Amino acid sequence: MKRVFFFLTILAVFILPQAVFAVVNANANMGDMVNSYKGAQNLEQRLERLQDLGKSMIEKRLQDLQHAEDLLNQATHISQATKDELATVINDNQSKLTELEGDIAVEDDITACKDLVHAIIQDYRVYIVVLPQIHGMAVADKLSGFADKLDELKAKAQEKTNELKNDGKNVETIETLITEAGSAITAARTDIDEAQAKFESMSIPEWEQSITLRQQGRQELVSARQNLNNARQSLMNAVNAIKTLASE
Amino acid sequence: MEDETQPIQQEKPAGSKRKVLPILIIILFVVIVGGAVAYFMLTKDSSSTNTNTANSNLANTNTAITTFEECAAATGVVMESYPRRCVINGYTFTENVNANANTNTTNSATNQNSNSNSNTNKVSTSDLDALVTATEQSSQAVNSAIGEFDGIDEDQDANLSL
Repeated sequence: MKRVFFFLTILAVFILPQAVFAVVNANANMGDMVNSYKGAQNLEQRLERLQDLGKSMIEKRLQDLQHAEDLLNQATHISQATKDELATVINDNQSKLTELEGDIAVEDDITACKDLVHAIIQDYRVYIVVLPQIHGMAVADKLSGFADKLDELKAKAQEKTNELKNDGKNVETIETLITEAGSAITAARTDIDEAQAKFESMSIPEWEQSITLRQQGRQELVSARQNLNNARQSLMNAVNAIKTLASE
Repeated sequence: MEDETQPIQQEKPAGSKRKVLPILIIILFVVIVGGAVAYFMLTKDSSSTNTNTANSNLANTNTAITTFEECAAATGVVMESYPRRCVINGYTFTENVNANANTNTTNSATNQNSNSNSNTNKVSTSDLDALVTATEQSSQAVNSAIGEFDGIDEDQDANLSL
């Protein structure tokens, strides 16, 4: 019994607080850090907290950029030229932000340090331009993959329909459904192209315009998804009709 | 007699301490564990984006899997049934053992070329079902990617008042 209590005590006193501290540290809220900086008691503490804030902001950006790079590498429907262009933007951001992190860490003048921290936002616009651009292209890539799968299904359904037709079955309804699906897939591909054009136009110097482009690009993506879901529904109806006809 | 009972009376407070100490330890433990649980519950929302990211990564990884061979390559596990089957994320892919196809394993869903090249092969409804399943996976991957796109927090780039 004593050993159990001893174990629990060790656990309670040493391990759990460390675990909680680790989580608190990992999820440190940016707003709290800003407040902490503003509430600093002296100039030295203020500088230290400003440096911590800058470091935290940069590390979050580097982490999110790394994820965006992974998404880009997984993309299979984006042209290599576009992938290379976007990869250059990401790598440029990563190297410059890392450099900036070093500058902030050694800056001992609070005014200069403030400028460096402001630069994290103003010079990179990671969350307004870069990440929406990469993620938008990644969604377009997924939509293209979806469209390809639907085209495969459509071709197979058409093949099966032809077999049934040759057997003398009435396939008029099925053919209508397949045609509807084909039109929806074509419309979706147009939406995807337009979305990609919007995202490709986004740039850091014109970041304010990029906010509008992001919204427009998103609308195109949502429209493409709707068209593809409609196509999928038509093809599923066609497949069900095929199954019924084939079993007769 | 008095000499024998006196020490016993003096031990009573010590015995009480022995009872109180474990209780205090338990209370301390409960408070810390409760605090930790409460903290995790409170921070759950803020960390949900990361969780979604992890889930979407998983979905992204599996999006490409539409064939028995891809499934077998991804999981390294196939069922010793005939024909062989492979399961990933609740989706089952069946090996195509079509006698007219070549001896290599081919997938029922994407075996379009061998089927279309052979007059004796007809499209089976299981071929269509496999493709319907593949489109469902693609649809889920799209939803996940759009969710991640929407999760980008523009406010992170709002100007700071320092």
